[in-house]
Amino acid sequence: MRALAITFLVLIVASAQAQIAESGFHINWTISKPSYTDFVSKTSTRGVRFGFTKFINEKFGAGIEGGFNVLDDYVPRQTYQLENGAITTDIFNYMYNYTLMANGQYYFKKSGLFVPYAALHAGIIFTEYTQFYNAYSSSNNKTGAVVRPELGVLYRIQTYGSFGLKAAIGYEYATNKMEEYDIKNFNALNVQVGIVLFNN
Amino acid sequence: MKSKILYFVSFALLLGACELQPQSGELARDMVVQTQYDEPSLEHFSTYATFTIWEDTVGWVKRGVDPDDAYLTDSDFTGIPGGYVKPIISLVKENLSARGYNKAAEEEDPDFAVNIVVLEDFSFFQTVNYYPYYGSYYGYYNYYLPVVNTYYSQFASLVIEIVDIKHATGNNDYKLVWRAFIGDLYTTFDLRTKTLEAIDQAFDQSPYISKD
Repeated sequence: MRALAITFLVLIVASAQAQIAESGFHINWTISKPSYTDFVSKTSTRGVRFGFTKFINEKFGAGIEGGFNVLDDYVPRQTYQLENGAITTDIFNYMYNYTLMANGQYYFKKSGLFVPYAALHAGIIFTEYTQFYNAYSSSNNKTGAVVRPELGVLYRIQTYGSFGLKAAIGYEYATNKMEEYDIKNFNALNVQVGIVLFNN
Repeated sequence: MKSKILYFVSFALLLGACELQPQSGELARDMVVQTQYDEPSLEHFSTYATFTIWEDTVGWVKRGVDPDDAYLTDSDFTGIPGGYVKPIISLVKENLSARGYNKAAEEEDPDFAVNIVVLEDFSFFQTVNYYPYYGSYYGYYNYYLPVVNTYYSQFASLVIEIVDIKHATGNNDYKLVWRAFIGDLYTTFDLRTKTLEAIDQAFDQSPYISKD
C-alpha cells in the first residue's frame, strides 16, 4: 500500500509534457484462467472491466476501474456424507467477483499510435460463492483485497483520434479465502481486450 | 459521439448476455436426495422385522390445503402413464423387502411405519413441526421428530419417513428414525422416472436400513 502511495505521488509531481491524451475510458472483455482449483477451475470468458484513466504526462497515468467476472465449475453427481445422513447431488459452483481498483500506469513509449504500458492495480474484491444443485442454491460472500500487475498495449487508430483498442495480460491475486469451506485465496491469469475512448 | 456510446453500449450488452447461472435443463437432470437418521436409533434397524405403509395414497402438505384433503392418489396424476403414487409406494416396499423387512397390516403390530408425503410450495416449512399439518391423514402415528432441520421451502419435495413403533416409549410417543428428502418435483422433466431413481438412491445411501 505504501509503495502504491509513493507511485501516485511520483505521478502527481511529474512534470506535464506531451502525452497520449488527456484521459480515456475503456471497456474490456476479460478472460480469466484460475490458478487454483478449490471452487472453480475452468477458464472463464465471462468478464468485463470498465475504467477511466487520467494521462498525467507522457510517462505516467492513473485511473480507476470496476470489474465483474463469473467463473464456474461442475461437480458430477456424487454422495456426500453428512452428520447423521448423506446427500446425493451434482453441484454447479459459481464464483461471482466484483472488483473496484485504483491503478498506476507507466508508458514505455512517449509517442506513436502503439503504446505499451505496465500497470499495477490494487483495490477491493467482493466475491459471492454460490452452489446450485437442482432447484436449490446456497451462497456465501467474502470481501477482500485484490492486486493485479498488468502488461498491456494501447493502440490509437488515428493520431488525435478518439477511438482506440486495448489489450493486456495480468495476474490477479485476491484475499478472499473462506476457511470454513476450505476455499483458498483466488488467483488467476487474465487476458483483456477492449476498446478505449480517448479524450484529447 | 453517439456512435461511440453505441459501441460501448453494444459491447456491454454483449457481455451482459453471458450466462450467469446454470441452465435449468442441466440443473434438473437429477433430483437431490438427502437422507437423515436418528443416531441413537441406528441399532434398532436390525431389530425390526415388519413395517406398515399406506397402499395407494401419499400425504400432501401444501399451504391452504384442507387437512381432510391432504393426500394424493394416482387420480391426481392422470398425465403420468403408469401412475405416480402406486409406483412410489411399490418401490419403497421393494427396497424394504430387499433389506429383509416384511410388510404387515397395521393391526398386526408392525415394528415401524413408513410415511410418504409430498411437500408442495411449503414455504412455512421452517422447522420439524410440519407434522400437525398432516391432520387426520397421519394422525394414526403421532410421532415426535428428533432431527431439527430447515429445508426446501418454496419447492416440492417427496419425503419418506420411517417411524419407530417397536421402541415407542409412551402413549403416542413414536420416534422418527429416518427420512429422505427428494426434490425438486417441480422442475424435473420426468417426474416419475427421476423420482423412482431418487428413491433407490435414498436407500442406497442408507445401508444401515437392514435387518441383517
